[in-house]
Amino acid sequence: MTEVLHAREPQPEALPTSDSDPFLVVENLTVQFPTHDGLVQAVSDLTYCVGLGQTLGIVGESGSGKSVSSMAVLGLHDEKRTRMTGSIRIAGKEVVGASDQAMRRIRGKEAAMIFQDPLTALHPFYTIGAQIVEAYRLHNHVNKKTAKQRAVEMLDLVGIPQPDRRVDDYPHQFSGGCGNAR
Amino acid sequence: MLGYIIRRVVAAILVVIISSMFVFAIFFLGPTNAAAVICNQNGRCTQERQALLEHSLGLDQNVVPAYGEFAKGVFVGRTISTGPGAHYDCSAPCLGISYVTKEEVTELLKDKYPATLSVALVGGVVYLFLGCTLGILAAKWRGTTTDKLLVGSSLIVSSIPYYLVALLAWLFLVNEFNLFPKTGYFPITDDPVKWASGLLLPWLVLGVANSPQYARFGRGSMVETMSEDFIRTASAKGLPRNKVLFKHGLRAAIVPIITIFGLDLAALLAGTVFTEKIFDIDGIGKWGLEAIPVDLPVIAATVLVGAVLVVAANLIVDILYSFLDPRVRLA
Ligand SMILES: Nc1ncnc2c1ncn2[C@@H]1O[C@H](COP(=O)(O)OP(=O)(O)O)[C@@H](O)[C@H]1O
Ligand SMILES: [Mg+2]
Repeated sequence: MTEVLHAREPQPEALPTSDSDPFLVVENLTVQFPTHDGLVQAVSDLTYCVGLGQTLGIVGESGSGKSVSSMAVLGLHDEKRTRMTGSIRIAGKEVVGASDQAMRRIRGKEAAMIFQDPLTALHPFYTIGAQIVEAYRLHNHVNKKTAKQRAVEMLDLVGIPQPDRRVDDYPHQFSGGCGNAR
Repeated sequence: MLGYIIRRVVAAILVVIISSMFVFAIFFLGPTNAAAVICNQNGRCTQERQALLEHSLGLDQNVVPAYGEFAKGVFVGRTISTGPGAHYDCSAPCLGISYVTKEEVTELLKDKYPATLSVALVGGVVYLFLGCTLGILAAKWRGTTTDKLLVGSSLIVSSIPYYLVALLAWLFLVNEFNLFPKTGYFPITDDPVKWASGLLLPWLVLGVANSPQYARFGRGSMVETMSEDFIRTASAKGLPRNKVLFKHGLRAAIVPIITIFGLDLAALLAGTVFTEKIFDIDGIGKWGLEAIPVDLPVIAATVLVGAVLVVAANLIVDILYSFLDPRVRLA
């Protein structure tokens, strides 16, 4: 498994970032989980940065901390069950120790994550259209109809046939990740 | 879907028929001789009088024709002999006439059922909401003192037998300190305020005593759901925490709770025996209980109602499930 980090070209509405700092900076990141059997050291002293337009692939054996470090970038670890030190900056904004409120504006907008298994990563009771629309409308002030059109466009973009119909399907109606209709 | 429903309904009818046979046979062949009990009620019972009674009640018959007669009454009605030379025309659906009060069981059932319905429906909704709310809060604050207090107190409440809770509530809150109005059933159509005040305490007791089960179940279901990958996706989109919890978490966690509730409610609707007996509510639970062991037609009727309700609830829950979870296909 690999985690791929990709910083998009700046969009017109994207916040300006200071030229000295790359878009994503991870500095001396350490992630630990206190458990009943002691402290799990999931990531230790990780440092990397990704500039705008760059793509970074992280490769490593299973359990080496790729997912844990990537989730840390979005602040997705439960703060009560996780010990994090170091610094993560997205467009100059510090993520480590940031409030949920502050992270909400970053998640899904300046930094987003595509999880491994679409069947478990998507809610089984909502159509994929509804789930895309929900994410899109969180960060863009558009009505449902426009958002749904965007969702269809996105499905088309990733090569899903008949996107205007598939948008109303549930995740289980898609076969294993390749986007082909069953 | 339609084929599935038809198959299930046929199976449900079979279950009801078989259970009615069992109940009928158990009481018909059982050790209590209804004729002897009734005969002794007004003192001077002679051998001849008892034999006469046995004959008029059909108790001297074989169990198979007796059941046949009972079943015939349900579908087309029948004529029942109420004593030497006396007859009663019981129209379908006839569940017989009470051995004790000589009234038509179907009429009695219509008379008593609204009370049970009132107790069960409102009481059930109270514990569903109370229990689920506590469970969700405990899950939301998992690991905190509030969570531990909620879990602990729910264990304490659920370890006290229900009849004791009900009895103590009645003894202290109604009988001793008059904190609640006298309990009982008054038809909602006559006086809605009286209806509600007479059932207020039973609803609360039923609600509070049964809520821990739902609190624990709700908490477990919620905690499990919140560890799912799709919850992480919801957070990663930038959804506010409460939306993650309710729109995504609760939506998935509620499905198994609704299933259990459907079956639970059916059992309540079949007669809230302790509640009715302790709070003096004239519903079918108390009625059926008081009919044991003599009044066979009444017992058979209450059991039949219970069987129909439980079987129907199972069917409804399964159909509902396919609406709540799009992955479920009925076939
Ligand atoms: N919530 C957690 N609590 C305890 N240990 C965890 C937790 N999440 C991950 N780990 C551990 O952290 C290590 C890194 O995991 P992960 O980042 O998922 O590896 P991968 O590189 O395969 O994605 C593993 O040893 C894993 O068991
Ligand atoms: Mg991984």
